[in-house]
Amino acid sequence: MIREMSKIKVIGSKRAMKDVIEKLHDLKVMHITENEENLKIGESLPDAEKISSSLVQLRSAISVLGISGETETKEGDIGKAIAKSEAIASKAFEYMDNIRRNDIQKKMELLGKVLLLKKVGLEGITDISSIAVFFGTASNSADVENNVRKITSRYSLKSNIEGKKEYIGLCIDRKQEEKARKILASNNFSAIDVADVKGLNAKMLHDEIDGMERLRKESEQAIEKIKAEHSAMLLGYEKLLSRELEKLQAPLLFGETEKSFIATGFLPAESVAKATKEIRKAARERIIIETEEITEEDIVPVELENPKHVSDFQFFIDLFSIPRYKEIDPTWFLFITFPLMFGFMLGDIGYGIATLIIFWLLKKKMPKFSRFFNILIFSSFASILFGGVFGEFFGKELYHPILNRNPEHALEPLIITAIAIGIVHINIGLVLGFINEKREHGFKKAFLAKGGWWIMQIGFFMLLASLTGIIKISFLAGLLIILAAGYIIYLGEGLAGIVEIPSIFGNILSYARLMAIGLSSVGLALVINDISSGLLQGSIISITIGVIVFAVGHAINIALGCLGCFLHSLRLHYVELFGKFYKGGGILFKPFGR
Amino acid sequence: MAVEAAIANGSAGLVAIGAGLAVGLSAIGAGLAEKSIGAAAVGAMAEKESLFGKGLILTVIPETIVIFGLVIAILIIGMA
Repeated sequence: MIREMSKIKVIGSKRAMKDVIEKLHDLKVMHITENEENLKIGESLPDAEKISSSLVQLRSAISVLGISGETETKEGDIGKAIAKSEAIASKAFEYMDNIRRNDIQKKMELLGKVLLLKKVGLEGITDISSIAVFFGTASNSADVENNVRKITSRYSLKSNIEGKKEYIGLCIDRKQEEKARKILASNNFSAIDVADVKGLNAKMLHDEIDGMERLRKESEQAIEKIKAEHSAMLLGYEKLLSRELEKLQAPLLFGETEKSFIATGFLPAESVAKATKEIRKAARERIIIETEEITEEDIVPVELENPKHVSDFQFFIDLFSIPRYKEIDPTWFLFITFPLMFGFMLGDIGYGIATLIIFWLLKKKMPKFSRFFNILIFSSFASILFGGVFGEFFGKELYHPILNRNPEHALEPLIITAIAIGIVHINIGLVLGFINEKREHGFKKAFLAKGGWWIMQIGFFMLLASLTGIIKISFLAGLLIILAAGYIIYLGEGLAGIVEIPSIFGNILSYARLMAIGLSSVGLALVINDISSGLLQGSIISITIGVIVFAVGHAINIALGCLGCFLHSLRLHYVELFGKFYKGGGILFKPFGR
Repeated sequence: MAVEAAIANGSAGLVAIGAGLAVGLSAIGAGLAEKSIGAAAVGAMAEKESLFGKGLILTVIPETIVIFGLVIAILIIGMA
């Protein structure tokens, strides 16, 4: 059911605003909507900016530190919370900076270069006007040396093979620089730029890297310490500040004049009296509260209210779309027909018991998804029920079934049952659609939009009856009724309705899947039973294999069955049933403060 | 006609082939249709998770084609 709402307006002196907001936040019953009068939009209360900026900082600290989890709101003084969280945040940022800014990678690269230089005797070398320095890789240092020796004796050459490359360092008289360059070029010399390591030596770099690593380690430890000590506090403060900010920014939804404010909102009808009294008291009678009629233009927030286990099926509504305020809440229909259809498709006593145990265990294990598993548990009960109807136990026919699903016997009754379920289900949808239309647009529109479909069905069955000769009835009468129904549908839903006419029969035939999915599951079960029972009559090895085939086969079939039955049952509701009446698109009731 | 002729000839095999074609070809049709819808639906869901319901509905709409094929197949087999 959709909870009945009332619309109220709180009007009062701005001096009472803070008390009113505080009370509303405590009560957690009013869904505040944007002000609809032609008034100035309210301004947030003082301090909102300060809290908002420190909240941003706090949140970024929380994300930088990688803290997550659920905590209680840390109650306490706001000023203290801001100061404390800002202090911790800035410390965290500082440590993070220490880690990020220290580019150890870069220093390591420099060190590598310096070490290479050292090996060819060029460490710490700087340009001198009388000496040219070459450093790089070359293909053959011996050849270079031979050629250099021919031009001058004033040189020094060292080479070093590291990995697959040969590094060479050559210092030579500046006068011979050009010749040396040519010699090097003929040996595939490729110079390495050493400008960035000018004046650096290995020890200096080593020390520097050590220092950086120490700092990084210290910072990391410090961050771990912050995390260990203050995680809960930071998360708690985050909640506290968010809550405070929400209160301070509430006036943004209000309308205001120079001296007064007006707040509009919806709250559950039964809590109006109590809430009104309490707000008045909190504001010390400086306000007026008016209850207003809900009009067509109002977008009323929706809260679904269903008994305990029915409400589990709101899961499907959340997944689809929230109903609008005046619509029928389809949860009850999902509660009744979803498990039944699931059970009709899976329909096997053994499978039902197996899934019941599995989903019950999963529910215990994952309480977060208990709504979802409750749906599946209901569906498992329905599977056991229909297993009784079909007389099946792990694919084996226990007794002569009430309704047959085994391909050994005729399948017509099954298909007819499936289609019959479809006709009933679709017509439930049409009835609900009729009620929805009547609520929104009155009886005439509702009759034109939905009634035509009923007449259409009657005409179609008359036609079918006369064609098959089951009942003696005039063919022409059926045809005329269909034409009349077509005209009514045209009046109700326009040309789109006419285009939709074939789809209602498609929708009804779609329920044949109730039979089809079931048959495929039975077929697979029979094959598994056939193979394993053949194997069970042999040696020990073949018996073992037989047992494995039986277990694995049925496990796979159950998994496939659950998936298929769940999706197809859901689809029959979403497409075939909801298509007839449900529009959705409502907004969720979110009371201020919750 | 073909079915009746096949039954008259006692060739139940042709009936089975006919039924197989009815399911198989309609399944290919449904698969082709669902392929592109499914891809688009998943894309839309990646952008906005609340579109799951709509995406699911749009994706499974062509599925009915297979059901039609299956109904026809059962009718064909029923004739044999």
